[in-house]
Amino acid sequence: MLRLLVLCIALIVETGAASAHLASDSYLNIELENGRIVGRWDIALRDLDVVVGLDANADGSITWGELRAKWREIDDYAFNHLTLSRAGGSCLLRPAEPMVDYHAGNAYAVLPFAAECPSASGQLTIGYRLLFEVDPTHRGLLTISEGGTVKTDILTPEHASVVLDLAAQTLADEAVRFVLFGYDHILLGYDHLLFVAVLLVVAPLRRGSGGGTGISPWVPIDGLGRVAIETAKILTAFTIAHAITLTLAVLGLINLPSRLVDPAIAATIMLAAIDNIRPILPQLRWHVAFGFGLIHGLAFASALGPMRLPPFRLALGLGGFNIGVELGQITLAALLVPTAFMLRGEAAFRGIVTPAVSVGALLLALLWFVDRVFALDLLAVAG
Amino acid sequence: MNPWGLSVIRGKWRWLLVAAAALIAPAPAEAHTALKSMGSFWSGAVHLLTSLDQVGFLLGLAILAGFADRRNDARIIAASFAAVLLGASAAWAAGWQADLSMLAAALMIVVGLAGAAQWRAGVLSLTGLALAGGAIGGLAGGDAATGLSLALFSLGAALAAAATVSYALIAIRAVKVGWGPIAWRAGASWVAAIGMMIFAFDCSRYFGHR
Amino acid sequence: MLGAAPPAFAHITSDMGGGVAAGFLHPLTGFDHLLAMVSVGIWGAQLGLPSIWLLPIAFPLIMAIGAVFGVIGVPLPGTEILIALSVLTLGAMVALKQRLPVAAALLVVGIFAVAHGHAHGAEMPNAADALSFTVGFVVATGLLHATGIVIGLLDRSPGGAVALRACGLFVGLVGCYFVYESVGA
Repeated sequence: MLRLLVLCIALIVETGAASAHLASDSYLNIELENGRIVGRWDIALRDLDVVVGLDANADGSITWGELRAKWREIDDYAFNHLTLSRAGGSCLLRPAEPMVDYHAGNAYAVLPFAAECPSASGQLTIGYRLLFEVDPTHRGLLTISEGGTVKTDILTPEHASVVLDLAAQTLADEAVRFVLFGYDHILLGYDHLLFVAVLLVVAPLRRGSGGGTGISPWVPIDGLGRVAIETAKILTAFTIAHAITLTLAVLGLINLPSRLVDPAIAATIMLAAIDNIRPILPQLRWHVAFGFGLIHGLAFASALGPMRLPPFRLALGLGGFNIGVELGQITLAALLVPTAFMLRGEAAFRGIVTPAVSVGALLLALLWFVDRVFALDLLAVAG
Repeated sequence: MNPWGLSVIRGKWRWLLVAAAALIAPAPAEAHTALKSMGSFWSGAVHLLTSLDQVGFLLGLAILAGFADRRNDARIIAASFAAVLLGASAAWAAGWQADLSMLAAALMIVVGLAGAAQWRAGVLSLTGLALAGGAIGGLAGGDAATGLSLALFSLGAALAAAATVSYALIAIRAVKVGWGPIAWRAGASWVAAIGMMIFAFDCSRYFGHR
Repeated sequence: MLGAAPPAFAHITSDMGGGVAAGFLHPLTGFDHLLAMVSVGIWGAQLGLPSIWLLPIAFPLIMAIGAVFGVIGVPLPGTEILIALSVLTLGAMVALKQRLPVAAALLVVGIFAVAHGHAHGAEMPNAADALSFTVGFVVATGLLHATGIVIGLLDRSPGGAVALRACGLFVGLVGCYFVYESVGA
């Protein structure tokens, strides 16, 4: 029995380790001007620490001195994982004086560079490989501008090399790309997923009056249609809420560092999980989804903000991104709700499974909360 | 002096947890980049959903269950879930990589023929089949989880398996027209047909007829 | 053009999809297969109960037996001719609206099913992904069969019944051509 308990705890910890790693994005901005190419590459210090090792004396914090000693290595690593070529000939990348910047409270190394290409015109091709060998969920967020035209792309292990033809891309393409980015972002955002899952696992249930059957406060809802509507309400409320705060945050009207937001996300999971066991939140699930969705939106902001898009592009990006997030949630619901629906009549489901899932989520979220509040990086086990 | 206030702490705490998680920590990566770049959980789900023999079995099982008492449905779904979850964990833990294609095909034949004959199976048979098929599905997926978080991978796969059976049963039970059972029986015979061909193919590979 | 390729989630099954597609197309691109499968469905619909439900259920299994022989490489003499004959015979059955006792109908269809199955089965090990190929062709054949049954429902109306028989005639004639081809070659 004790061994089973240890195994369960170890599993939760291991899951926490694998999933606590917050979405890793780098921001690559490139400008083309009169045949000259200049760029700025923002890479999270947290990511660089994994591959280059920045904390020289392992005292748990990085000083400017330690960072300065490592700039060469950082530049080497980064620019060995980026290639630019024009009209078939490869360009030489010249890094300039590096800096540090903050996005949503996280520190990023800012690597400005210039590219010298053999020809002043022709198709530009970018090859991006940063971090993919240690983290295939890493994404490179590319923004390219030439004159007034701005284009964006999202670089992944499958889509690591892009040929750029600024004239040919349509708005529709870009919008679709943001939709996919949002989709990708939430499906890899295990904390957001866990929150939605905690809500969805009881989607085919409703509060019974007077303790239901006695084993659980929940009672099954009749009919697939009603369950589908209930699910839709939860998801839509969540999406609208996060769309609101995401927009406000990206526009700069709200500015909360991720130091605060990330633990808050963990807190939302804990509260929702507790609520599954003992009601402490408002009755209607979609109210809960809305309220907590506002917090989740702030977390998404850290992904889009540093892309530095002009206003119209930003609106397009936001719209697409939110649609993508909604689609991601629908995907999760498609995976979870039918099973929950079929099991809803079983006493074991209501009495054992949902509480167990909720407790598991609670423990995981607690781990994340502690990890994030104290910035312990306890869980940076996965390589 | 810490002007930048950067905090990337690597304490000794970490090593305790590393030791604890060492047994289940994932091995370094090689596998399919595409699956891996969608994260462990979805890799697991997608891996199961694209394993056509597993999906074929699950659909056949659902058809068979569709002819039986509907009170068994939940049990079968739960059994599929548990079996895939445990199967994937077992495969990983044992470091075992057997080719289970013939076994999976054999199960497809069993559920397919039973469904085609509209055999009204009892809860024990159905649960047993679900456990067997799920375990094979999980075991088959275990090696695909290298480099990924096993817990998430198997969870994703298990949920996908349960979802497949759930969807199928919801659809089967919803169809009330007369030709419904005929269509399901025909479907079951197709599952058996696929199973037979795969079984024959595997036999010929092992015994070198070709 | 900034590539329209989407991130990870859409990528996965490109290889498997190819295998399934190849299998799926196999019965469709073989006109003889296509006509025969649809005709089985139509004839079953014309025969009514119990053939209309017995055939769809028994057919895949009988076909699988033929396929098994094809897969393991046991040669079946005259599959080409049998397949051609199947088109001719089934077309004729539909055109004549020939009623046969269930057992006889099953026998006729069964022999042809074995031949068709053998042809698909022989192709299967050459496919890049045997499992995908099998699923593809099984689904395609099933759909063709179902299509035939649905078309066969036209039999309910007098005009439709005549149209069906005309189709059967057409199929039978094409079958003649196939037989001529397979014998002459």
